[in-house]
Amino acid sequence: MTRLANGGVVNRQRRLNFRFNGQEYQGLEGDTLASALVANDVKVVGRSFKYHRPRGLLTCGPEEPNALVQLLSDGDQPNLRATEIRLTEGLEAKSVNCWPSARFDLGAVNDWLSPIIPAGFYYKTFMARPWDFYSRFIRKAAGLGRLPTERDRGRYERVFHHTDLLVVGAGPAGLRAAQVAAISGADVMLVDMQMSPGGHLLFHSREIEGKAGAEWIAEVTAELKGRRNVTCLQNTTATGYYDHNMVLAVEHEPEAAWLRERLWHIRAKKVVIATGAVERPLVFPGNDRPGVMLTDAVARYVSRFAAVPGQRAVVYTNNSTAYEHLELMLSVGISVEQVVDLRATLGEAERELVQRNSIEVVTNGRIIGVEGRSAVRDVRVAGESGIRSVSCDLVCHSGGWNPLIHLYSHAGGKSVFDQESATFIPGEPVQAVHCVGAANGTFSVAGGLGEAAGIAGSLVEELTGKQLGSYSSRPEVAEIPYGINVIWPEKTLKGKAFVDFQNDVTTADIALAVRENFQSIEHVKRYTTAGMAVDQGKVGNPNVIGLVTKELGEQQGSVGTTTFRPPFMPVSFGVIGGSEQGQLIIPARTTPITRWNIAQGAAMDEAGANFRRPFYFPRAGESMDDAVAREARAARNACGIYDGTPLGTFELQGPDTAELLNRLYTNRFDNLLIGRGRFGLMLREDGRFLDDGVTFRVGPHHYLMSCGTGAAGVVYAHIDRLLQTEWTDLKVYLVNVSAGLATMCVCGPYARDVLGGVETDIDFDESFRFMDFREGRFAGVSVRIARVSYTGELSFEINVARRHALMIWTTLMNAGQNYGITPIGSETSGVLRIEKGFVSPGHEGDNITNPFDAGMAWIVDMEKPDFIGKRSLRRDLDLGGERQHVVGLLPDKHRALVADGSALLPDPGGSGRSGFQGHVTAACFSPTLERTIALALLKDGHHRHGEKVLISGLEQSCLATVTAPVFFDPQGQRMRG
Amino acid sequence: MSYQVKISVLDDFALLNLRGTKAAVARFETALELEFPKGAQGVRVRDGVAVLNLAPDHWWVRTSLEDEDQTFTSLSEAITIEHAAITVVSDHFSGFSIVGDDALLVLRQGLSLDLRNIATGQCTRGSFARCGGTLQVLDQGYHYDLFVEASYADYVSAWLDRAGGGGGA
Repeated sequence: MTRLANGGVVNRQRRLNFRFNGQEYQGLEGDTLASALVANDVKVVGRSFKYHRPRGLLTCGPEEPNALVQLLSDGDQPNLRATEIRLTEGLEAKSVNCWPSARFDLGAVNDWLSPIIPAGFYYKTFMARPWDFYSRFIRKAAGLGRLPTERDRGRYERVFHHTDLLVVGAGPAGLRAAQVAAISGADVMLVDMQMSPGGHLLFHSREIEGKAGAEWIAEVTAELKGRRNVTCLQNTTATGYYDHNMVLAVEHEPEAAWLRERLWHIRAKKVVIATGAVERPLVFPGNDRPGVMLTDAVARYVSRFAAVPGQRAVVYTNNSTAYEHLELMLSVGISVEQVVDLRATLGEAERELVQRNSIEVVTNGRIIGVEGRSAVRDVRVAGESGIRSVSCDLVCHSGGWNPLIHLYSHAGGKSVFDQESATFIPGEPVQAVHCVGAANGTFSVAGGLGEAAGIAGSLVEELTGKQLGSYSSRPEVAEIPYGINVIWPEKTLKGKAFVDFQNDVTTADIALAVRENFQSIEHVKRYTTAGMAVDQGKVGNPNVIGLVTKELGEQQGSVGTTTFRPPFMPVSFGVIGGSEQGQLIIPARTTPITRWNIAQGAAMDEAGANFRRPFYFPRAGESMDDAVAREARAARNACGIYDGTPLGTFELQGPDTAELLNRLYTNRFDNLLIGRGRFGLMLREDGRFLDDGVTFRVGPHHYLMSCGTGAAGVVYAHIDRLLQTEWTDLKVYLVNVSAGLATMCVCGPYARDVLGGVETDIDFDESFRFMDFREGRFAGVSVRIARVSYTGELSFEINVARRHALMIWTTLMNAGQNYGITPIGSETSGVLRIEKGFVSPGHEGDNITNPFDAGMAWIVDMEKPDFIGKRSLRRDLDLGGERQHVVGLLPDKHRALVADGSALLPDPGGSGRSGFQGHVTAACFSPTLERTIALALLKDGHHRHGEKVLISGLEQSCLATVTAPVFFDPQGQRMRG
Repeated sequence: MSYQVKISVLDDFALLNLRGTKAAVARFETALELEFPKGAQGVRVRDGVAVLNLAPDHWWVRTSLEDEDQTFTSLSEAITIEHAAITVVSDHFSGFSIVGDDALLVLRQGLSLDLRNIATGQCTRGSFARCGGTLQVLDQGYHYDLFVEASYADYVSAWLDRAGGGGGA
């Protein structure tokens, strides 16, 4: 064990047992999985993606590229970073991308084969057949981790939140920004991905305004939490910045204990990004060996978790930051064997520090090799006095800092290269984003605090109009000034030197890409995979860009950067779905009869507009075909009943309603009498079908319009838009009453008898004509009953308030018992429709068909002054030419299986036509006609009745005779009689 | 294992949808002896009757189910030649009452509007849990009445239960 006896924020009184790669270990409460592994001397935590090289922890935070694990104990979650997993009792995890184990991985053969599998090798190698052969192996090798096979039992939640100011990051700059903004009274939200606020102050011993860093954090945090206008969230990762200042953040383990994660949709007026920076690796041969770790990470493991990752360290750096950690390392017993500094000279503070602690420094030095495969044994150092081996078990390196500007990039910002700090920093502000502190390239704490206060103050002044100035000064902070001298990596290095650890991209790969003339950084990224996938170049991007620039012979910063894309960290599918899972995945709509239908064993099906309707009502032992045939026969020979409530119903009131209807429909409505209904056809501006339905005139200026279920929303929006924007002179009010009115349809030869058996003051005698409606009492409640038909049978449609619907339905079922009343589903309705050849906009209307093509010229009044679509119809008529027409098809085989959408081809033995002729729009087996029938769109179909066409099927084709589309009761006597 | 909130179905309410010109509104006000809220999202209440301003020419009258017919009749009789529409929409909507300290935590899961700006005695319309909804604020942060299209009632009921920390559907 390498756990210190004192220090850190871990609870030594509470030991936690966990398993990693099959081995039992113990950690402490407050550990992450990574820190617990460090404390247990576990060096190898995983294998690299391509070469399967053993890898250890490189970092201590979300940027960790190596320690990807499969979490087995809390569901089965792949590709989580060990640095981000809070240790819990019984936790079990294993490394990904290795077999049989991380210690011994057969995939490591790739490391030996690396000369023949450089960057982009697959583009050159797998161009020839047999691709199927290659793909088997590639698919096996691809990917990290394993998809879970069990249902995720975790609970998730999504929440919308609005705030005046969002601060992302609770390091010193973020805390100061929130503190200043909160004084104004503005609503402030502070989100931070760490378990505790403080950022770098948690492990950098610094004094701020005379207070220890920890004390300053505690004071500011307490102040913020005491304010009602501040919302503080720890353990919350801002994963993406979208348009109009929408930031998505995932809160892990929220205070609501039943939740695993909560997704915050945060809409902020202003956003301060104080996400800090991550340390950049140095690039040297063997820089990926277990035991080679960033200096910042070493400091974090020691300070936060009291876990010591090595005993004898070599520190390799090009900047001053590493020096700040030397005394910490010495204080916990790490022997600093040597500091290798790429710079020629040290700053005064650094020189004093190493002299005070008698640490040997090699200036102008380089590490040119690391020995040891699964753990570091020694390093070879090249300095001005030659090459020397230094024995060690830990290499700490620091290549400077990369501001975490991912959110700024998501927002649309373009970063710029800062020569002084040798890194990319945010450029011009975009949306309402303001970066402060290290995220803005301000690496001194004092500078970050001053910047944050200034920005936050000006933002809340803008938001609230209140003047704030007292926090804008630059506070006193004791720290070593940041100095860096970057020597960008070179292609001449021997051995593998990695620039992107997660995607296994080496300096040689980058050099190869440039040699092959990839000059754009975006192209290099895609060719080599550097900076792609879940890592998104958090630690490696600047080195990749630096090397590309160097290879191209350009000035640093000239090639630009790649684009960081959301999410900043992987987001679980569970939290994207939130609570809307299982039955809640679709906002399913019901009618008052839905439960009755389900209780009767109806097979339910999607019916448009999120309604689920009975498809058919199977009885014991019945197949779907049997049930549909029984229901269809009942409707034709006895009595059927179905729930038409999902249809859209709108009230139209006002003196200009008739004029409105005249403009909406192709036929006339200004002569419709009160008490009568009329079928209407609604077109779009292009003369194609929008919808159809029956409209009733209820009073002088009062109409009731019905429309299709799926089209109801579109039709309502269409009319509403016209009234609000185009025809504002029309005095008409439109009200949607669809859900308030239940609609029940009773159809068939005995329909009149069934309705007559219910107590009512409405006469259902012969005077009740087709397209009449009557109002009255029926079974004790007010109803409106219309004689309309969607089945071709004598049919009555009953409108009743939703609250009475189920009572009316059951009353009808009881009244119809002696007449064989049978509930019918939507599949049966479809069969009845096809038999009657009723054109359905959803089937025969294919965005090309016009009413003339559909044989509906009878409903188009081209003499009317105008209606929507008239101009386009006129153009169709003027243009002429061959069009597809709606026809009926009678297959030669009476029980042929014909699928909707089947292509129609010329009769091979016939007409002389060639090529595609049309397609089947709807087909079924008609129980009434005892044969297969179909409706179709066929080229010049109106003039081809009697011809043969070939219905092309996937398994078998068949010839069919073209007919008129009405197969049953062509005169409509049953419906109108 | 749930939020501090009580969610219940409103079973005694009637809603009348009013559209009309300014002249018609004046007659509505006389009929109900209640000045209509003219400002956006405004609500006026008197003797158990609430009038909600949904749009510049669009209001809801919320009353009890028992008074539905009488209110409809009064309003209808008040209109003579003015251009107006009165529609009983009680059955078109289902209502839910959301009451408790965590009411906002439940509502904010389904409503993307900035609820900080909707105060006690106001109302708003928006997309709630992917359905259209109208929200009446009876006590900001604590008590809200939500109306959704009745066909969504079963879904919204299960959704609210789940959002409140229950099992949902």
